Amino acid sequence: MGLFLANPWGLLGLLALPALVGIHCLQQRSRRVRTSTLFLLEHSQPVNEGGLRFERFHNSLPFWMQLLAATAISWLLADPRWIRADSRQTVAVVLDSSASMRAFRDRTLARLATRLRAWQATAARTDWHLLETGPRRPPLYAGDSLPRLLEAADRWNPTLGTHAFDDALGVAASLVPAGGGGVVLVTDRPCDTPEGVAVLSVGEPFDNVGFSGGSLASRAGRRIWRVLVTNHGDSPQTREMSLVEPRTDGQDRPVAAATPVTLEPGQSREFTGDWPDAERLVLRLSTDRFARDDTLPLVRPVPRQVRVAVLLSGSTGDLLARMVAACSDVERVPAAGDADLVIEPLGGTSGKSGVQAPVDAAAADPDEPQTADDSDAGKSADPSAKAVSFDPAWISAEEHPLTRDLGWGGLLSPAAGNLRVATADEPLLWKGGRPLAFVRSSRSQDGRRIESLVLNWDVAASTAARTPAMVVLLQRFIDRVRTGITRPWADNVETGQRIDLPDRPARAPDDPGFFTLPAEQPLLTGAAQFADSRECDFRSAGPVDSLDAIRRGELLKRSVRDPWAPLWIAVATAAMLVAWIAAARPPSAQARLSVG
Amino acid sequence: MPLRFLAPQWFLLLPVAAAAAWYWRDRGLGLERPLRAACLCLAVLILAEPEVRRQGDGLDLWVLVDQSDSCSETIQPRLAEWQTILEKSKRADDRLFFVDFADEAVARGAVQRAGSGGTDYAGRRTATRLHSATMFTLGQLRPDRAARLLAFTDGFSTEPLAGLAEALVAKGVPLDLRLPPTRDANDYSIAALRLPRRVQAREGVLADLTVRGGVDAAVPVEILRDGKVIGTRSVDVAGGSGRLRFTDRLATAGAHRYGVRIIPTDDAIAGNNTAEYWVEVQAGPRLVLVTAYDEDPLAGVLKAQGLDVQVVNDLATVNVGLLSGARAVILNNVPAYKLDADFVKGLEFFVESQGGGLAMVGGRFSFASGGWFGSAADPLLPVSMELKQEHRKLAVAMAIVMDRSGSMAMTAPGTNLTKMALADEGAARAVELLGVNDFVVLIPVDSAAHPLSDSLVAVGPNRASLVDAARSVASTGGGIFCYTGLKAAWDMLKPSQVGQRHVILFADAADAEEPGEYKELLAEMVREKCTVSVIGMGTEQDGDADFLKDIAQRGKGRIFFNSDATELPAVFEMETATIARSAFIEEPVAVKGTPGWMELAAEPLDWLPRVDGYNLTYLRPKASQAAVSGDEYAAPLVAFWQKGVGRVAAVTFPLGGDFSAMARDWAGYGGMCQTLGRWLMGPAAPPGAGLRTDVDGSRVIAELFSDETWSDVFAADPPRLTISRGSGGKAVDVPWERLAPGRYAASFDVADAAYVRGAVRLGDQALAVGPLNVVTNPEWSFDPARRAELLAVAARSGGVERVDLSDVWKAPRPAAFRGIRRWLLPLLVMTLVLEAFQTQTGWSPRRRGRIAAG
Repeated sequence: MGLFLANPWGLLGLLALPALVGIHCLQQRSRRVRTSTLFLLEHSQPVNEGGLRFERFHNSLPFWMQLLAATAISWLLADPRWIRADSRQTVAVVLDSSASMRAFRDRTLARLATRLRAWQATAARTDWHLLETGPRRPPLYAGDSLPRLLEAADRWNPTLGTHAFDDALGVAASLVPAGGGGVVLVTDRPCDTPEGVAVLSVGEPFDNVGFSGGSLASRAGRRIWRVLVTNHGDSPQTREMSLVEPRTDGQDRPVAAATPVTLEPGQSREFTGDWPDAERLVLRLSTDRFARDDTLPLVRPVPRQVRVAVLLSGSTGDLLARMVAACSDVERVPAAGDADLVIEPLGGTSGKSGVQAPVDAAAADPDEPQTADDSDAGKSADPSAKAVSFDPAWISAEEHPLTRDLGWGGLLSPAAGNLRVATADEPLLWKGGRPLAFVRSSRSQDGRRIESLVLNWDVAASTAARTPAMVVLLQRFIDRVRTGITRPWADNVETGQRIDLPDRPARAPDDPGFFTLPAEQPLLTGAAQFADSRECDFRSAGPVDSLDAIRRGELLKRSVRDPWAPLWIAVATAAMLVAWIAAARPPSAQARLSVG
Repeated sequence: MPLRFLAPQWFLLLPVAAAAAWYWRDRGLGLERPLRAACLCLAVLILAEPEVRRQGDGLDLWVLVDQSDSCSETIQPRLAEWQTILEKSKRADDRLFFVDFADEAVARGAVQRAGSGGTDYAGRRTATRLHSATMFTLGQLRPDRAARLLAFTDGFSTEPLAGLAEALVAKGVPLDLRLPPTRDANDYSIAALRLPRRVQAREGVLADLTVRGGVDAAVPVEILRDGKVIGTRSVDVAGGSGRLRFTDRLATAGAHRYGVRIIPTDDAIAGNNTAEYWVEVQAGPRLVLVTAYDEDPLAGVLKAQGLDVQVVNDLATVNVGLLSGARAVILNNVPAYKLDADFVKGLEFFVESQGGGLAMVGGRFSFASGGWFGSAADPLLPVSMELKQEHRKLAVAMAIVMDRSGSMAMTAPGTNLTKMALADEGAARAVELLGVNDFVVLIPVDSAAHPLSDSLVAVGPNRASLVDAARSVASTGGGIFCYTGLKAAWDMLKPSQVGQRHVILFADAADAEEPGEYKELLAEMVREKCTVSVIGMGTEQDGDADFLKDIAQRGKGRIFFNSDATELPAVFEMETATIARSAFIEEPVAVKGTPGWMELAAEPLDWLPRVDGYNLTYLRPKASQAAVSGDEYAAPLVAFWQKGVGRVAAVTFPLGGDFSAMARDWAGYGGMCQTLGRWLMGPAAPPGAGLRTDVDGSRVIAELFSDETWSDVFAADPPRLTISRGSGGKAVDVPWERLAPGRYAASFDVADAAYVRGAVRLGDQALAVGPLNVVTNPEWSFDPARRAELLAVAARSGGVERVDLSDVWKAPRPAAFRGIRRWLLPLLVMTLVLEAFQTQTGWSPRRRGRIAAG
C-alpha cells in the first residue's frame, strides 16, 4: 500500500518546532532568595521578577518531548492516507502527433515518465493506454506496465500537421471507466480540452525559421525552383541557405554556395533559382531548434498524363476533343490502343475507359419528346450547331462527386437520348425523367475495370460548348481515369499526403525526403516536403501541467485514512505528559545552588 | 444530534486524567492548569473522532420525468406504476419530489398554465434537455438533506451531457436511471434526405428521400420549402424501405430550407417523420436591401450602379438563409422586433467572420426607435444608440406588468434558470435604463395585481432598491389576468403629469387570461396619450397570441413574441430604450461633411445642406464619421468602421419615406448610396480559393482548395475556419488538417445545433458557407452513443440503472456527517506551544496583570 499526504499544507504545523526552540531559549528573571540552609531552598518556588531574557539553548527532556508531540500532531494534520490494496485505475495518455512536438520530444518524454510514475503510485494497479492524436495513428500501448508504456512512447514519432484532438480524446475518455482513472493530453502549448482531461506540456516559445513550401515553375522558358522561407519569430533572424544535389552514392553535390538569409519578425520571403541539370535537389537552412522545416527536397516533376484518343467523328467529336484539350495534363494520341481514355460513339468497343456520346442528333432523338411548358425553351444559339429544338425540361443534377457544386442552368440541349440507366450505373444528370449523363462501369477482357462517361444527348446541338460545368465534369472524369494509369510519374508532395495508386491508395512518408511508391514496382518518384507553417510557429508554445488536479481527485477515491491515527495522538499525549512530569521534577542540587 | 463521535470509548481517558491530576497534585504535574487540561481534552476529543451533522437522516429523492415526445410511448404508460412503487417503498423521513422536463423543466405541483392540472406538464415536448433539467434540480436541493436523483428517461438526451458528471460529483448527488425497454412497435421514419448543397438560380434541384418502415404501405409525404408546403406525394415502403425522388427549382438567391414530412397512418413514433435540408442558391455578389418602403429609392440608385440588389419588403420572409451568399445587408428603417430573431442574431457572424457588410439607415423605426438597442446588431454598429441623460427632454412614467403565473416557474429551454428569473432580470435592466427623472412601477400579476409600490416611484434616488425589487419577483402559480394588470398600471400612471406614459405588459402567450373590458381601457389610455407594448412569452401560434397582439395594436405600442426566454432581458432592454432612450429628431438640421468621407471614396462629396430629420446617436470609439449634424449634438449622420472581417455603416438620416425629401432631392444622393454600397460589399471574392462542404451523418466536412497564389499568404497567415452553431452561436475556431499543397480539410459535429454557418478567413478576406444542418431531428435519432453517455454520467456520479425502483431507498446514502479533526489538530498544536511557553517562562495573563498592578 502506498502512502500520500492528502493535506500537505498540514505540515505547516511543523512551524511549531522552531517556535519551541525559541521558547526554550527564553529564561525568566528569578527573584533572589536568601536562606540559611539549603533544605529551605527546596520549598522556595522560583518567582518571576517580571521579565524574560534570551540565553543559550538549554537542552532538556521536556523540550524533546514537546518536539515529538508537535511532530506527531503535524503528521496527522497532513492527513496521511494509504492507497487501497485492491485499488485499480486506468490512465489513457494521448500524445500529440503534431510535428511541433519534435522540438520538445525528449524533454516531454522525460517529464511524462516522472509524472506517470507519480500517477502510478496512486493505485495498486494501473491499466495504461497510450494513444496518439493523429487520426490514422494506431494505439501505441495497452497494458499494465508503465516501463513498457514508456518504451512504447519512445517510438512516438510526431510528424503530422495541425489537426483536431477531439476524436482521440473521445476515444481515450471512453477507455477510462467513470471515476476510475484519467486522460492525459501531452502537447506543447496551452489548449482547451474537455472537462476531466489533464494537460502536460513542457513547451516554450522560441524563434524558428524554416521553409514554408517549394515548387518548380517556368519563367521565361527556364525551369526554376521556388521556395518560401518564413521567420516564425519575434526578432530578426539570419540563416544560411544552401542548395545541393543528392547523389545515389550518398555524396551531395553542392549546386550553389551557401548564402545568408535575413528575415524580419514574421516575414516570408521567396527565393528562386535556375533548376540545374539534375533530377533532385535539396535546399537546406542552417539548423535551428526545430529542424523539420530546415530541409526542403524537390524533384523534377513528370506529369501523370492521360492519353486521349478521339474516335468520335463529326462536330460532337471535335467539340469534346477541344474540351478535353482544355483539361490539364492531357495528351492526345491517335490510336485507341495507346490511349488511357477514348472519346467514342455510344456503345463504343475500344475496351478503354472513355467518354461516349451520340455521333449525331439522330442518334439521340427521344422516343417521346416532352411538351414545352417553360420559358427556357428556345433555339440553340450556337452558330456551329444546326437548328434544333431545345427540350424545355430542366436539368437536375445528382449529388455526385463528378457534378457537385456545378451549375447546369446554362446547358440548353435537345431531349435526352433513349438510353436508360442500369442498376450499376451512376446517374449524374437528368432531364425530363431521362438520364442525360451517367457513368457506366464494366470489365475488360483482361478483368480491368472500365468506366465510361455517357453523354446521352446531342452534345454538338446543345450549348455545352459554352457551359463551364461541362469542362469541369470532363476534368473530374479524366482525373478519375488518371488514378488508374500505370506509367511512372514524379511529383512534389506534402508529407503524409494521400496518393492514389492504380490499385490502391497510399501515402507519402511522414518525414521529409525522397521516396518511391509502391516499393515493389515504383510508379511514383516523389519528394515529400513539410510545409505546415502552423507547426513551425512556436510563439504560443508554453508549459502546462494540470495532472495534479485530476490525479488528486482520483487519489482520494482510492485511498483510506491512516489507521494508525490514534497511535499518533497517543504518542503526542504521552510525550506531553512526559514533558510535564520532567518539568515538574525538582532541580538537582547543583542546579539549586546556581539558582541561589 | 448535531455532533457524534465515532470512537467515544476514548472519553474514558478523561476521568483517568482527572484522577491523575488529583493524585499527583503535589508533585507539580499541573494537569489542572488550563492549557495542560486543554491539551489533554483536545487529544481525547480527537481520539474520539467527532463529526458534525451536515444533513438529516432522511433522503430527498428527486425524480426527473422525461416528458418529451419520444417518451410518450415508452415512459408515460408506466409512470403511474413507477410513482406508486416509489411512494410505497419510501421511509417515514424520506421525501419524494418530481421534476417534469422536456424542452423545459419544472417542479411538479405548480399550476403552470391555465387548463393544465398541477401534475400535468404543459411545456414544449420537442427536445430532451436532460442536462438542463438536472442542473435545475441540483439548484433546488436543500443542503441539510441528503439527496439522490432518479431519471425516468429513454436516455436519448438532445443536448450534450458534458460537465454533468462533475456537477453531480461536486454536489455529492448520485444519478440513478430507470430506462424503458427498447421499442418493438412498427415505426415509419425518414432514413435519409439528400439534395445538392448548392445549385444555381432557376436550376433543377433533385431530392432523394428514403423512408423506412416495418410494414409495407404507401406513406403520404408533404414537401415544404422555407416552411411552406409546396406539394404532396406518396412513397411506397416495401421490404422495409421506400424511396421518393422529386425535383424543384429555386429562383431567388440565398439559402432555402427544404423539408419533408411523412404522414403514416400507423406509426409508433411521430417525431422521426420530418427532415430538413438547406440548399444554397449560388449567384453573383449581391446586396440584400431589407426595407420598410414598397418603392425604395435606395434600390433604384444601387441597381443603377450595376449592383445585384435583392429587395425584401415582406419582413416575415426574412430569415438567416437570406445571408447566405450575400455580400452586404442594408436595413432601411426596419424595426428589429419585426425581423426573425435568427436573422438578427446571425448578423454578428455574417459581419465579423464571414466578411459581410451591414448598413443601418435612419428613420422613425430605425436605431433605438426601432428597438435595435440591446439587439445582437447593436455592438456591430459604429454608433451607440441610447440617448444620453443630458439630451433627454421628456421624462417617462412606465409601468411594467409582469406575469408571475405558474408557467413562469418553468426553466427556459437549455438553461437551468426559470423564465421568471429571466423576466425579473429584464425588468431590472429596464429600470437601469430609465433616467433619473423617470418614474416606474412594477406590477407582478397572477389572478390579481400585486404592485411592489403604492404609486409611481422616482427612479433617481431609488434605482438600486427598484432593481433589487424587480429581481425578487417570484412565480406563485395561476394564470395572468391581463385586464387586472393593465387596470392597475393605468390607475398608477393616470395621475402622473410626465411627458410620456407607457406600459410594458409581459405575459405568457399561451396563458393570457381575462380580457375583461380591455378595449375600453386601452381606448381611454390611448386618449390620454399612454401607450402599451406587449412582450409575449411564446410564439405567434400560441393560443392567446392574437389577444396580446390586439392589446399592443390598440395600445399603439409594439408586440414581441419570444419563445427563447433567455432573450427576455434583451427584449425588455430593447423596449425600454425605444421608449425612454431614443430620439428621432423631426426638425431639419444642417449637415457638415468631415474628412472621414475620403476613407470611403476617392473624391470628396458635396454634402446636402440640410436633412429633414435624423436618429440621434453617438459615434463609438475607433469609428469614423463622414458627416455630422450641425445642431448642438454634432451627432454622426454617416458613420462607418471595420468590424472583424466585415464593414458596417450607419446612415442616421432617412433615405426614403418620411423625412427624406431633402435627401432624395439632393444631387449627390445616388453617388453617396452607391459609394456606400460598393464599400459595404468589399473587394471581390478572393480568386484562387474555394470551399467545399458536405454533411456526412452528423458531421460537416469542409475542404479548402487554393492555388499557388495563396501559398505566400498562407505561409504567413494560415487560413482559419470559424463556425457558428445555431441561432446567434459564438464563433469557434476549428483546426484545419493540411492534406496536400493548397488543400486543407476539417470536420466537426453539428448534431447539437439546428444549423451551422462557417467562414474561412483568407488574409483580410473571407469565404462564407452555410447554413448547413443534419437532416433529421436529433430528438428522434436514438443515437446509442447518447444513451451510453448518460449511463457513464450516472456511473460516475455513483448512480446505477434501477430495475427494482424500491431499491433506490436502500441505496447507500451520502455521508451526512463531516469530521472536524482537521480543525482540532491545529488548535492542539497551538495549545501545546502556548503551554510550552508558559511552562518555560512562567508567563500567565493573571500574574502579568498582578505585576503590572503591583
